[in-house]
Amino acid sequence: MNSIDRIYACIKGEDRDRHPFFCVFSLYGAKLINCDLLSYYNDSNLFIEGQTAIMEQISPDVLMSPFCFAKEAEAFGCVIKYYPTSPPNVKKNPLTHPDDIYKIQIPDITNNSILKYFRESVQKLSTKFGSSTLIAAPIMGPFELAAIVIGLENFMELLLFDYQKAKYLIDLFTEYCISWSNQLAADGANIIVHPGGFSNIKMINSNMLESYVIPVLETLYAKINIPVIYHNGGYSILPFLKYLKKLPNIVGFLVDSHDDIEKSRLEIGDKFLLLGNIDGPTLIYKNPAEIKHMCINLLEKMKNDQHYIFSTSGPDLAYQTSIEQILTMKAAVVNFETAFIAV
Amino acid sequence: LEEDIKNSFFIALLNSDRILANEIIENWAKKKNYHSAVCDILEPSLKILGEKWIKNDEITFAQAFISAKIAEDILMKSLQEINTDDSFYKKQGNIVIGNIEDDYHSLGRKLLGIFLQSSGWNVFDLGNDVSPKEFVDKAIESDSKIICASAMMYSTALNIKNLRSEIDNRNLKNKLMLAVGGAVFNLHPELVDEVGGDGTSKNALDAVVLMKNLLGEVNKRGTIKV
Repeated sequence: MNSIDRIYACIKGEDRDRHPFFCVFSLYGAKLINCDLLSYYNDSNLFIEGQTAIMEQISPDVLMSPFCFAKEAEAFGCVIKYYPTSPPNVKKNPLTHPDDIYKIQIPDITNNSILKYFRESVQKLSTKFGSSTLIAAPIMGPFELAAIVIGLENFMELLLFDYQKAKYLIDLFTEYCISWSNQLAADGANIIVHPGGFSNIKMINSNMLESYVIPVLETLYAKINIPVIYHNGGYSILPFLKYLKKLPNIVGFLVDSHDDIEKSRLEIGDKFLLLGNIDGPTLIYKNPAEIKHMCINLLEKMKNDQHYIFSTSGPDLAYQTSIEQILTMKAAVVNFETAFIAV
Repeated sequence: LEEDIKNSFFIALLNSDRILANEIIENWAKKKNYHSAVCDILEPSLKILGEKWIKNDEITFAQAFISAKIAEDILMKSLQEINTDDSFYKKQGNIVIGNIEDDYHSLGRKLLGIFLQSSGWNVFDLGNDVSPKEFVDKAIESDSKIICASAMMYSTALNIKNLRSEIDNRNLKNKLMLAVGGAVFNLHPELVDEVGGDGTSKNALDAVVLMKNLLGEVNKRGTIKV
């Protein structure tokens, strides 16, 4: 049973040899090939080299294309800053005044040199590993894109006090997100992962989710040609699952490490994939015995869950995480006997 | 009755009702003054809100953002009152604030600036991503005795170490105080010592007290001479 078989068995709720294993290894590939991050996040060949090392040394069931939203924001005019051991961050937004939103240029997804990096990465991942491994492409939704391109506080100001301008931005970015997602699908991605960086309980309450976000995501997801997994975006989403589960074209939820995974399953019902929920960025602080214990506890909770994928939650694993820590986690999953053993 | 008014104001904050919150303050200020509105209504409510924010799951960013806007509305009115009635406020001096290099989370810093201003400080807000040299240059140029460096994330908080070095390398230790703040310091109080901060406060309200104390420390030791 290869990774694709395992994931699709999980989607269908069929027997499989073990739970699928997924971590956010976008950054970690750079560590394995000892590559500086400026080069890694600009040269798709280096990204593929890093992911090849991930496959050789860890062999997860899902590979992710570059998880680097600041880089995508660069295509919209943001100035970004690179760091030695973490993904780049937006240093400066292109706008100096709220009225400047009307000057925002949507990059040409077919020719833009920055977006080309993402597209080539997906194409090469798909060509090299796509026959046996699921290729997931993370995207920003319209709200995350607006927040990163004009700044979170500027966007919040528009959303709450000048909705006409906010709506202009949301509509503009929704069209872009649809085109971008479908382009990545055409390039070889099997699934879209949408981290709801704006749509979690730390950012907004359920009223705002229902009135502002859900209608936009309904439009967006319905027009994406491949399935969507909703990612927690770094904070709890359990209270929002009852709204999110009604969205079209959504196949699963990656919940936060603070979310009760059993309650999450109860909330979404038994047809969706459920992913999570070891906190990836803080794995670095655990020794192998602690990691094994943590993983076994989680796996025990989920052993009868036909649609469960073992996964880290949150953003990338920290650069400083040791390969031993990761392999301890992987071994826990591989060696754990599920209730659904494929014959 | 006053308790009812205070509760109504707090609920208006939670409901992100900017208009109602301002109305409550206006009515209070008509009967008393804006200084009382700030001290007796705004500050206690923001304090509770801040505590809930630190607990991490009861207050959303959107609520905190609107509360900051409401606080800004009220404090700006309070500032206007200062111009006509100086008896409530004593001029505290100059102070430099900014987010440390690589940090772009400005909401807390802006709120701090407003509170300091309303407490009599002449605030020089350098904005986001401020280098150690910029901080210290501005402090010297403006004859400020305190720098407030803000950071939200662990990785950017560590950049404050470079500001500590800049202050020390220019022989300004104990003459130019370094106040540090931001969400990460609430989560990891040990960071204050690690980055070389002279003090911190849990929120913008408590910062006013901190600055008074730090100023007292400097005044004991003398003024900046370069």
